[in-house]
Amino acid sequence: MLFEKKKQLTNDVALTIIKVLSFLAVALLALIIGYLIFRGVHKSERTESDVLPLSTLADAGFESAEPPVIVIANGKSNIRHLSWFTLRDMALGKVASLRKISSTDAPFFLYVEDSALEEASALLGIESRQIAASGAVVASRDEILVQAKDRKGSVLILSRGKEAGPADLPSGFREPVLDLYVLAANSSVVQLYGNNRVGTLSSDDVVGLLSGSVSDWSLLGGGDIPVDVLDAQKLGEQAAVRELSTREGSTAVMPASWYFHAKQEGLSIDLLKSERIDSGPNITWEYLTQPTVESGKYGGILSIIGNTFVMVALTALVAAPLGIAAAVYLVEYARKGRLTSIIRAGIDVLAGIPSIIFGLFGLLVFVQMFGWSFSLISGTLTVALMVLPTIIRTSEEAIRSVDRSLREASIGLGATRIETIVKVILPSAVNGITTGIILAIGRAVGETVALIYTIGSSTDFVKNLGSSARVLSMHIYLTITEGQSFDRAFASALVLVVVVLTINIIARVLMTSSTRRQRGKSND
Amino acid sequence: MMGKGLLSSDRARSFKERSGRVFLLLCALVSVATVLLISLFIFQQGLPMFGDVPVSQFLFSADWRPSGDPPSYGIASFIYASFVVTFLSLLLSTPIALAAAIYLAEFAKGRTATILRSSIELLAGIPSIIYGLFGIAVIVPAVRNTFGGNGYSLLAASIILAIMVLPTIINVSEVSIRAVGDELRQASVAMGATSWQTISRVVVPAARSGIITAIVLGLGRAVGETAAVLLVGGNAPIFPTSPISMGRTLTMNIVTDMSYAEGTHMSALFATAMLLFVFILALNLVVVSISRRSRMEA
Repeated sequence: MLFEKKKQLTNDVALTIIKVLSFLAVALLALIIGYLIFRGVHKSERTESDVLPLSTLADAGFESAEPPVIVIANGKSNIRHLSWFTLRDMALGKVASLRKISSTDAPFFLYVEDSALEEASALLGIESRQIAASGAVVASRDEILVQAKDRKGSVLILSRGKEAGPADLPSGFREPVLDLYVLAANSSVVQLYGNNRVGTLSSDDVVGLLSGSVSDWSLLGGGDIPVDVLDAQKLGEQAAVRELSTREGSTAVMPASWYFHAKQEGLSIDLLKSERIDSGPNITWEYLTQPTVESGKYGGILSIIGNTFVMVALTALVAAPLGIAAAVYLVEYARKGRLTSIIRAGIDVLAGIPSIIFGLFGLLVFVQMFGWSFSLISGTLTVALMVLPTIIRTSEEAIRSVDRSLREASIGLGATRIETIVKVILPSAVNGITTGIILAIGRAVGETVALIYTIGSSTDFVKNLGSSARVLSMHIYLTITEGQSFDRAFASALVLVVVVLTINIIARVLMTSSTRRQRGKSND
Repeated sequence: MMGKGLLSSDRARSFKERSGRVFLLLCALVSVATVLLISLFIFQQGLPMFGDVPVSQFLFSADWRPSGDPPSYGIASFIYASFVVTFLSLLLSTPIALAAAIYLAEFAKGRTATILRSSIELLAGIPSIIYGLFGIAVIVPAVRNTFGGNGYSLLAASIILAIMVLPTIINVSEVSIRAVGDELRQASVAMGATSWQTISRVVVPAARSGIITAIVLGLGRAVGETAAVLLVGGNAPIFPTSPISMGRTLTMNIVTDMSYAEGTHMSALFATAMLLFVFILALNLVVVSISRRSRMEA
């Protein structure tokens, strides 16, 4: 009795463990997909910035004075924040497009309201005629609003007007956050001490510094110097800059223009860089529909998606006829014997060869021997050879399961074998064959290693078979290995995963529908 | 008298028939030709290295300094790293994969079976570069926080590989478990065995060769995997002393230096690929001999 009970208990425990372990696979899939979606949709990127983000200033309880001008941008520009340094570059005519400033790439235009010209030039430390000479349009408010409305990349500097308070934002425009303050410090602070120096400061670090809870620079990775916070606003520009350049360990929040003037005078003042957490939507419509800029640092991935589709279509175009023909041979013609077993062994071995070996083969044969260099054709042929076994195996199964009676009827009606194959067998096996091709496409679309030394990395849309073409998987690989933004890698990864999973689901649906049809037939 | 026209059309038909057959045969031979060409090219590039570097030094020295003076081309650390990563990944994935295969073959019905099966299929479909990215973002920090070190390690690579080879092991072992005759199960149950006893003492032993094949296939995938391990393994050309130290596998070694290597260095990379290729071929032979032996037993 006791023995029976123990036996039953072991049984239950073992079966539960089996169930739990097997559902771990489902959990893993859910975790991976869920994480990819989360990171693909939401970004929270830490970037280094010369200016103090306004949010950090607010956290530190610093009351910043209202800017003397209002800066707005076209609503479609997607500019979220503008630093004093960027604004200055804009006013000097050094900015040609938005590609490095926002997620939208468009030619840049600056408009300055005539009554705001003086304030703007004072704020940015540029003479007003320099602004006018930079190509900026200086005109009345109504006029520049009309002109800027149709230009995606337009930024407008408007006067604040006599009456205080926020001006009404004209429709079709947005007001980016203006970061006009910097955290400046005496040069002693940012020097290298042994192997250490003060790094990029997080919002908490800045708050700690200004509130006095961080009393020594060594706490932030710098030298053993006490922190000395100056109140720059109270001191005024001249005094603040003078104090800062002479007092060791001193630091102060000040308008970027003060720092800039002091630097021009050669005073020993430096900037402490601070961290900006750029959170928000990651994958956006702009990301999907814009060309790539600087190997993916800026801009979108439109051309890369295009390249991927071209590569995959060509791969299928090469591999499908070959694979289907091989499958037809194996089912319809191959007799038991040495030749057939060699062919079968060849397919099995080919299926097991790691993609890195295929990559080397493509490099030696297509890239070097045929002299096609890193190109679409080299990459495509390499991947086509790789996916060949997938197509052969699935097609073979599909062709084999075509009813014998169909074959016999066709031959009986006087058709030749080839005619039977082309007109009877292949049409009835079409679902299974399509499944094979789709599965192969799914593999081709995600392949990376076989492409590293074959397809090249140009981010332009391919012009011909000989041009170098970056595809999605390679783009993710390069984005990571070149140490660019992780968030961008995840946005591309989400696109790739959605494509791959869609392909797999289509293949699965096709497969079930074809087996169901066959089952239905055999039930008749 | 038969018309001449009919005869010649018969001849044309049979010519078409024959040339069609030849064309199909040629297409079927592409795979074989590819395998042969791959071996030819890899060996042609790799073998010259042994003129400069003795085989024993290549295989047993852990000193990889291709740009040193004199240069040294020992890949023992990479062989060892490949071994560790593969072994660990199979250690992690085999229990899960076996459990899933048993569950799918013996118990799963209806919707649960569909969910489990689709999940496994989708896991198989995820590209390795995505696994690598996931590894950097999730597994590497997890290893760093749990075991210390910087996280980029053989262990992280093994964990990622374990997930990647799951579908291979599950699918092949499920098929072999399913193939076990029902009379064996019924006999076992009739003798009063519980379902666990039936599975562990009758079904799994009967499906042994299929399960071993599954694990060998998983091994082949793990050894040859490149993109994912490259991103999480650390890629340091040192002899790894523990699972949490960084390491470079054979595949990582090929990819890393290929872009700039020249002369003997380049040749050494192809020799590394040669070793990998021969190993994969040997695994194929193992699979073939297992299935042949099991067919003979049956």
